[in-house]
Amino acid sequence: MEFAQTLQQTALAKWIGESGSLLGYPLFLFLHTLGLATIAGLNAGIDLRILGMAPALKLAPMVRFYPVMWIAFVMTVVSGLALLIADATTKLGQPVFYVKLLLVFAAVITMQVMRRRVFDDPQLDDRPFTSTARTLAMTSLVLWIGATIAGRLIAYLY
Amino acid sequence: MQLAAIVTAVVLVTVVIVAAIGVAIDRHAD
Amino acid sequence: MTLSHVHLLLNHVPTVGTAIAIALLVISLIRRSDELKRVSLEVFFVIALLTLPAYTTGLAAQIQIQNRPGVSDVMIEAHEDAAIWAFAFMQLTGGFAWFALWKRRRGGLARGSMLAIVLLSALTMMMSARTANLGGEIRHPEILVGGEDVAAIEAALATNPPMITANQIGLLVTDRTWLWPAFESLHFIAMCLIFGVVLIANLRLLGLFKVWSFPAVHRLLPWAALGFAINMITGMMFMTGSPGMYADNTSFLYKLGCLMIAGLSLLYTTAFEGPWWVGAGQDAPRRVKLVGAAAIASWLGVMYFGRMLPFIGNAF
Repeated sequence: MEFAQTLQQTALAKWIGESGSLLGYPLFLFLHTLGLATIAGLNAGIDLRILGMAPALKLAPMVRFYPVMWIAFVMTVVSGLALLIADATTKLGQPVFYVKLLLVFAAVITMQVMRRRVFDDPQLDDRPFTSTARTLAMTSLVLWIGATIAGRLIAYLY
Repeated sequence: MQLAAIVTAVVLVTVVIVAAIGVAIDRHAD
Repeated sequence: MTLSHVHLLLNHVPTVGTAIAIALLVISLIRRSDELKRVSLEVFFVIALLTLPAYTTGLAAQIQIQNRPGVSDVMIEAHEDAAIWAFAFMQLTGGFAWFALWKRRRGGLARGSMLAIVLLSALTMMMSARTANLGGEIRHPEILVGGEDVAAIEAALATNPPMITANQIGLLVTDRTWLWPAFESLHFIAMCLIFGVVLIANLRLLGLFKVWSFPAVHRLLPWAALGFAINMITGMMFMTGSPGMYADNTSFLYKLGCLMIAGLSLLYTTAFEGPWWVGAGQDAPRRVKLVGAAAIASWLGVMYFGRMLPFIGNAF
């Protein structure tokens, strides 16, 4: 726990957690929420399409969501780090925090696997989506939902 | 721990029900 | 201009507004006017949207005038209990109105939705009228008929309590420790669903993903509406469970304001001409792009002021 305490005592961490400024903890909370909404929301759009919703919408163009999703992910990681260091001693001692990190990690891996296995097919919209695609889509949805629940529980289980 | 289990269960059940409603509406929509 | 004052202004919307919307619908049926029918649906939607701040300012009004001489706290509670029912039916009406607009935009008839609207709007009208009447009795001695006094009404309510009260819902939320985190999780999940679809639809209007026609993207909108519905329900649970955190909360007011803009922009992208005629490869006209930008900005506002509830406002 010494590492956690050291982190929390740094000038940056103290400013984020204790300054009371709206540009500190609150702003990072917002950016973290925005990042989540963007990456999970766009990913959910892809997943729902693969699972058969909105059949008139071609899936292939959705590959262009990826840059936006990656930028959102970076924003979520950076803001997440800021939130973490401001409260490191609590968070690093919470099992649900590690569960969340695992679920996010898995969701992002799934997203990347989808990029290769699904979107690299030039004839993607010419035939029904493969069972691999559908499995990845369902997995992605479950993982993002799980990550969101775990993230919320951080505020309640300590 | 028990809280986490109950919350997760309630949320997942609700999501499944809502998703079913959503899929039904989506199928019906065209 | 206090929130109580705003409540007194807005509370005419669910009553007078619904009556006007029903009248428009009836006239449209008599005249067989498709255009008028569409307008009545749009009015139903806007009325439902405005009923949100009408309800929440009611909570603020309650806090402001309760415990004053000449004000009946029992009547306030009766009014709130009636308001919850009216609110629920109003939102159902508005939801079906939205869906009918969506389907009709795409060339469908939405007969099921139209029938639902006819029934639901009538029920909403009755419940709104009842709510309004009870509201008046909080402090409008001239509307108490035939010399009844408030004590008699209070006694009647005591022997015949309503089926579901605001207090009961509130207790449900605060008694069960899992309920708040569960509903918050659902609120966030639905938020992602809304924002994902909103981004896709409005980024298209702003010029990205031009390979899609807007009608193809339009097909996704019911998923955003579903998310909206979930968040309205979970939001109501939070408000009823802990009204003090929201009734007088500046951040919540801004969130509601942004929500109104978000709702109106959703109506525009769902039903209006401008977005619909943006074909594959086409650039949208400037005013359509403006709405697209406003839509994204308003949802950013909803998320921001939602997150700021404990910081800018006095929640938690």
